[in-house]
This record gives sequence, C-alpha cells and structure tokens, in this order.
Amino acid sequence: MAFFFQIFLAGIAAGCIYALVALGFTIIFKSSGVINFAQGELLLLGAYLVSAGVSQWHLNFFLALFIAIAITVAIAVAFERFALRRMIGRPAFSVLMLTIGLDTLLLTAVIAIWPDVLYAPAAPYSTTAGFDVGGVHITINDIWTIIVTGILCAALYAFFRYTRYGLAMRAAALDQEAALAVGINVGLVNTFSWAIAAAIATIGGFFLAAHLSGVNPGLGVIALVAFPAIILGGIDSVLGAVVGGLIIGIVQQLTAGYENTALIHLFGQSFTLTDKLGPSFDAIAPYLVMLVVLLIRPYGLFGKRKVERI
Amino acid sequence: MATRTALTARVISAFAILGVLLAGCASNTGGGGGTIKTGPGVDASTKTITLGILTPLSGPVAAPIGIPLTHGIETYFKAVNANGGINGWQVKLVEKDTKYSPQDAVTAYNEIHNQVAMLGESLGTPPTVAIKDLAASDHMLVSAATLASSLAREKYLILVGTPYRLQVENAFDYIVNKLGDKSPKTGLIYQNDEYGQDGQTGYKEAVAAYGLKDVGQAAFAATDTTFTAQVAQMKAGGAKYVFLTTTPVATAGIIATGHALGYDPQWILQSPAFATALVAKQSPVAPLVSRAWVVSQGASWGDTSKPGMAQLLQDVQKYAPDQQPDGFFEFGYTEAKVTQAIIAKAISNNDLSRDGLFNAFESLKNVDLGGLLPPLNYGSSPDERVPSRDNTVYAIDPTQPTSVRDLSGDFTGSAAQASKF
Repeated sequence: MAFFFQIFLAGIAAGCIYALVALGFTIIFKSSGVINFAQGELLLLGAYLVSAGVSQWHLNFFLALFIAIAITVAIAVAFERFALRRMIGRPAFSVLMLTIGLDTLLLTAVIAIWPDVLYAPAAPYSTTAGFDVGGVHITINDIWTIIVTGILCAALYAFFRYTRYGLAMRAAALDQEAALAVGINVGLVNTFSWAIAAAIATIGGFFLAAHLSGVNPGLGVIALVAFPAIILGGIDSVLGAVVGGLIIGIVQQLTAGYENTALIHLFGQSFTLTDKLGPSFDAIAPYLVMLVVLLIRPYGLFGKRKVERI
Repeated sequence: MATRTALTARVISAFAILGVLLAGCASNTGGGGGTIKTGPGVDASTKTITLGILTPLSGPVAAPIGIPLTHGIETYFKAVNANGGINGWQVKLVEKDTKYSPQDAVTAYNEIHNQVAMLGESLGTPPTVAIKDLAASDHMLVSAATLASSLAREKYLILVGTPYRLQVENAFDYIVNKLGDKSPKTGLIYQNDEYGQDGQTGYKEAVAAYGLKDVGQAAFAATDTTFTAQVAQMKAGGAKYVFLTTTPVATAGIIATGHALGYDPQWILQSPAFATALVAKQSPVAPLVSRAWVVSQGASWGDTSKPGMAQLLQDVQKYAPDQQPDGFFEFGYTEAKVTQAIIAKAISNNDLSRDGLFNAFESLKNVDLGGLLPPLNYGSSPDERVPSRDNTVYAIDPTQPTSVRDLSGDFTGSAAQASKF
C-alpha cells in the first residue's frame, strides 16, 4: 500500500506542474483564442534564468525568480505586442506558426547561452530533503509544489472573479466585439494574459527543474503532456486546467508504477500491460483518458459548449 | 578510301578519348604505383579522399557528445594529413548537422552521399537507423558512433567497441564473478527506444546467465517529467544493484529521485548514461553520481603507457590545444583510427571504390588501436561484425582526468562471450 501512496503522491506533484503549464495555455486561449505552442519553452527559459540567477550571478533565490519572471514576461509581452498584434484577422494557422517560431527561437537561444548538459536547479530549500510517513517518503519539494500550485490557482480564481482586469479578460474571452463596445481595451487584455502565462511558466519551470534535480534543454517537452490536460479539462477553463493536470499526473504515475508489475487475469491468462502493449504505456495513458472523456464530453470536463444564433 | 581512312581515324580517336575519360573516372595511379580503382568522394588527381560526417552540431546532444566526438575525428585526420596522409592520400571531411534527428540525418545524407567515399561518423542510434538502408543501397560504409547491437546485423555499418547489450552482461559478470555477490537483487531502468531495449536484452540475458533476482525492468519515455514510479519500484523490490540504460540528463534525475526517496542502491551506468558534466563543479548531482559505476572500455586519458594515448595527447597538444580531457573526443579519435585502417587496406588493394572500401573492411582481421581500445576484429557475419566483447567497470571519480577510475580491469564475461548476434 505504501508503494501505491508513494506514486499517488508523485502523481499529484507531477499533476500540479502539468496544471501550471496548462494554466498558461488556458489563460492565453481564453483571452485571445490563440494556442501558444511556445509555452513549454517559456517554461524552459524561466527555469534556466532562475538557475543562472542563483548559480552564476549569485543572487538571492527570490531576486533570481523575480528577474526570471520579469525577463520571460518582457519577452512574452513583446511577442504579443509586436508579432501577434499584427496578425489580427489573419488565419489561425499563421498565428499558430508564429508561436512555433517563438518556441524554436527560445530553445535555440537557451542552448546557445547555456551549452552544458545540466545546470543546478535553484530552490530556497533542499530539493532532495524529505521525511517518512507510514512508509511513504514525502519530499519537501512535492509539498511546496502542491502548496504553491494551490495558492496560484486560488489567486487566479480571485483575480478573474473579483478584479477589474480579471472581469475584462473574461468579457474579452466571451465576445471581443462586445468587450470593445463597452470600452475594454482588448489589446491590453491580450498583453496581460501573455504576461500572466509567462510568469506562471517560469514558476512551473523552477518546480520542474527541482523535480528532475537539474535544468536541461528537454524541460520544454512537458508542454506535450500538458496538452491532454487542457483538452481533458476544457481548453477555456481555468478550473479544467487544474483538474485536468492533476488527473493526467495521477493516471500517468499509477500506470508507470503498475504497468509492468500488476498482473491482469483475463480469459485464463495472466499478464501485465507491458507484456501485451510494450513498455512506457504511461506515456500513452493520458491521451487515452483524454479520448474517453472527449467521447462523453466533447468540450472537456469543464469546457463550455459554444452556442451560436443561426 | 580517304573517307574510310578518315572515318577509321575518327573512331580510333573517339575510343582513345573515351578510354582516357573512363580511366579518369574509374581508375588511376595508386599510392603503391599500380592502377587504383576509384569511386565517389575519391579524387585521384589531387589524391584526396572525402569522408562524410553526420553528427549533431546543434541541439541538446551537440555540446556534450556531438562536438567533442567530431573534434576527435578532425584532430586525428589533421595529424594524419600533416604527416603525409594515408599512403600519400589526404583526407577531407564534409560535416553536416543532424541535430540528432532522424529526419535531418536523412536530409544530410542525401545532400552529401554523392560527394563522399564513406561516412566517417554517424552519431546516435536513431539517426543511424534512419540512414542505414540508404547507405546500403549506395554500398556506403558507415562508421557508427553508437554501439546498438542491432547494427551488427547491417553489413555496411561499422561498430567501434563493445555493444550496449554486452556492456550490461559484463557489468553483472563483474558483480557475480569478480565481487562474488551471488544471486543479488537487481533491477533495470531504461528509456523506451532502441538503445534502451538493447540494454534490456542484455539485462535479460544477464539475469538468465548469472541467476540474478530481478525485481523489475522499468521503462520511461522521453517526455516523462518524473521518475518516482520507476525508482519506487526498485526500492519496493529491494534492488541492491540498479542498471541505467539512459542518457545523462535522465541519469541525474533518476539518481536524485532515488536519494530523495531515501534509496541509494549501487547505480550502474551504461556508457552513454554518463557524461563528465554530471560530476562537474556546477553539477547539482555530482556527489550522488560520484557513487555510481559506469561500464565502458578504453584507455584512461593521460595513461601514456598506452602508445595510442601518448599519440592522442601529442596530437591534442599540436592540433587541438584547447581540448579538455573528454571520453567522447577519445571515442571519435579511436573511431577515426579504424576508418584510417580501412582506407589504408583499400589503398593497398588498389581499390578505393565503395565496394573496394567494403571489401577492405570485411577483411580487417585485427586493428591495433595502440591500447585506446583492445585490438578490434571485423569480418562478414553479424557475430564477426561485433568487434569486441570486453569492458571495464569504472568507479566515477571526479578527481580523475575523465572522471572515471578503473575498478575491474579489462575483461570479457562468460555471458558476453557466448552472446549471439
């Protein structure tokens, strides 16, 4: 049983990181309808900047985090203001390609600036410290990941529900023309959503690097795993991003933990998932869960069905 | 009559010109004085042989592996060319960036395949697998900077060293037969690709051959962001020795996850799972990785008792003075020595065509590498294309020039000796 709880906890912690990545996607999509394929590399850049701030520039962790957020936000805002804004009215495919371009640019720049295999993750606590509870080892890193994700989600919920800018973003997401008609600066709303997404990506990058005990150029790949989370939760739902991230994290970890050990008894045969389907079924499991949910709820768990007057 | 004479003269002239042209294309005077047959990438007029290099020069694999390994090949041929070439033939390299991507490797191959005599390097299993059929249809020899066992079945691919599968078997031979730890609890964590599955094949053979108590074989995907499930499985099973068929970044994540879970078994690394950067000063996992072992082979950097290493150090001083001690540089340098042996043999056979190079490769019975690696043997069957079966188990030791210290000495375990390809 300890093994189950161990990997269940790992699933929650991984799910929190997926949720942070998914939140970035969702916030930008909600306000502008753009799927930002550069979200993974914004996270990567954030992770490298925090690491460099502490290890290379010898800054205090929180100052390094602040500078990293400032830089990623500046890049995201500049991209939105000077590249995406000019694409208004152009096909969605062109906008999508632009974000893929930013993704490639950021990855190339990161590798050029930091060419080594691995850099130290920065954290205000020991990333390998932990304690045992009933045979389950709980790491300080997992606890902080869960707490910070919870706080960020609550803060975003409050922001969207109670602040002027939050309401403006919700209005713009519902109907941009109507929002413009009532005096909302939709351009500013878009810029703001990119800034929030970049800041969340930086925090996600720091936690992901801490989990893997190193900053490496492959961190941005996490965006691929976050996709099922946002589709599962509903691409336009902040709550959906969080719940989707958690479901994907838990499903993936439980599958990884049991796929080659748990025996399935069927038609007089005993076998493991790995025996029949090959290794790393955990990489496919999130997509299967997503497919099943979409068959039942095509707009995701918390997505809203679009209703149009015809 | 005059017309007939003129016609005959024109026909004779045409044949003479054709003869000269054919001679220029397919044969020329060789280094040994005889007529040498040539092919693509061989310019007899300037006595230049062009070799292709397909390697990641950008992307995540470039800095730790691609660039130093290619630098090793460049340095070796710079030294060869400066010392008169191979029997008077100069070697020129055409390098293309694969970014470690199979698609880019295919594009790069198609770009250069008509300009080169053979590939002096194709780095990585996925890019090499992507081009192997193209190379076979061109009768192009490819020196593979990968030790994937399946490549031993490809007649145009050259392996330089002991395949991954046998590395795993030798590691467990060391534990059972040299350390005397009979029937230990063991496990494997491997990445789910061809490289990882090669390690798994070796692990399964080792479990059967040495009576190991296997607690699990856990795979992970390239997109995995946490290794807790895999490590927790090893911990729950009580594995004393865990073998990692991984890349350096995953190695760091797995070992650190183990430590975070209060689990520090004896980690044993497949050769590509380790990079000196893991134990560099700025590495976050240096103290943890320093307790691991790595299975590889070859002379230690700076061991001048090996003539090959003494020559390497001299060449580094002269042609690559900024080069730091690096296992991948040494591998590239050694790989180039094998390529040179093939070319030298082809020249002595007066046949530098692609088929001539292939015949030279198949007839290389013993390549002396001056102790950089034990002598390698090549032949025509898959088993004969496995050039060596020996390994050394090293302790990772950051105080050493290449961060490893010999634990076992060079040896071939019984399972590796018996393994069939």
